[in-house]
Amino acid sequence: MDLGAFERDNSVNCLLDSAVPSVCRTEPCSLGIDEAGRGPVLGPMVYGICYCPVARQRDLETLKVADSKTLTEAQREQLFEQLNEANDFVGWALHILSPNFISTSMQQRAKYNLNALSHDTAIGLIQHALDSGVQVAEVFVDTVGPAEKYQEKLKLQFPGLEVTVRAKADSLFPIVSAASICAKVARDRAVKNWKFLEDLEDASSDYGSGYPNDPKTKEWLAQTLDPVFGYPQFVRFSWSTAQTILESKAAPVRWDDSEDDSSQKSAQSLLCFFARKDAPAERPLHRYFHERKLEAVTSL
Amino acid sequence: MAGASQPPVRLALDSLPGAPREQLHLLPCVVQHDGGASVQRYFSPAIRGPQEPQPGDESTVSFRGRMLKGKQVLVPEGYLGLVLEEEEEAPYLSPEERNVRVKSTFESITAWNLERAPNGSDEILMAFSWPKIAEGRMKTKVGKKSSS
Repeated sequence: MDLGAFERDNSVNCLLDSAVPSVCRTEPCSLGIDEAGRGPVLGPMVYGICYCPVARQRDLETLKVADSKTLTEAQREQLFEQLNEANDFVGWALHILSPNFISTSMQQRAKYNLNALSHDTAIGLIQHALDSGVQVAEVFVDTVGPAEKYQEKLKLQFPGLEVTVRAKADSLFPIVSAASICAKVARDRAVKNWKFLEDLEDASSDYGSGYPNDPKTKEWLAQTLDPVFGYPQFVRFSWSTAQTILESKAAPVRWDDSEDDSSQKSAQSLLCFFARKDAPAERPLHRYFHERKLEAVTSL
Repeated sequence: MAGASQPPVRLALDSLPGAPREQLHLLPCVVQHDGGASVQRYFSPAIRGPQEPQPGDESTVSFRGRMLKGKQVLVPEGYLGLVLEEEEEAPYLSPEERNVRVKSTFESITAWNLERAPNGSDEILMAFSWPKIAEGRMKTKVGKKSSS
């Protein structure tokens, strides 16, 4: 797995994939989907798919793939190598969602929540496999949110596929375990080798796992804060961990579309209609100047 | 009107020739901060778009995790933008006069908007059309005594 394409510009998303094994173009395939890095406040979130012919799932079991969370980092790396060696019948694809994409999507004017983001990314990856010529027959997904709703959404999108959405799918179906290993390996590598596009000078690069409760991550978040810009793009600004620190320690920022702003506008006091109007009114500016926020400067 | 009670402001013109040229960014939000900002370290490297933007070129960046789209806007023809700085030796205490120096100059700014690039209906672009109109207005008034 070469993360070079993502590392060249880690402010945007990146799709990586293996070559499609020729057997996967002719035989009906089983495809598993899982994600890695949903919880952390740092770094990308990675979606992985792994696929192989339905008839060869047993061969996958002999590789002893298991839920990536029950494995050590070294074991995951080793299993990923084995999956790559099995490239005559196993293929994979990854979609790396940059933390900048996560922050800006979740904080869009029209909010884009994490579940919707997850679902759309999963749908995109299934479509990518289909477009690459994989004969997908069945799909196994580790659930994000309520399983039934998600399953319905996927079935509606792909009526021709047998879709199974299940909690803990990564420990139930080897093809999902394989997908979880691919995703987790990519996430770990991306975090470990994160190249800051910002110039952080002498800031420490000891940021830990990125989980909000990791003491190293907490320490790093406390030390890296810039009063104006807040954090480098490595940080997910939409996470409450980051927002709490920004609200208390960084310079307050008020946006045009912020909620307290609009409430201020609508909360015009009734009293203003009774105010005395005998103060000498200045000649109002012409609308032209008003609309352009232009006024004569008479002092600094 | 209000200026009558204000002390005069003296601009040190000799500070103009040596003043560096800067790239200015106009953000679509209020940052309640008075002082410098590490623009070169945090903001500039995050901008995506043409390397050397020409007027009208669009680019993207993010600020505090929100997506901004920006456009290069030239200062009106015949004008030069100045960033002024109050001299520290002449603090507010002296009521007679205040001294300001040119800190830097600019010929274009990048106007940033939340999620959509600025267009002709944005204040800054509309405001920059005033000098041309003012010029035309002056020409038509030649010979008349202005009362405004």
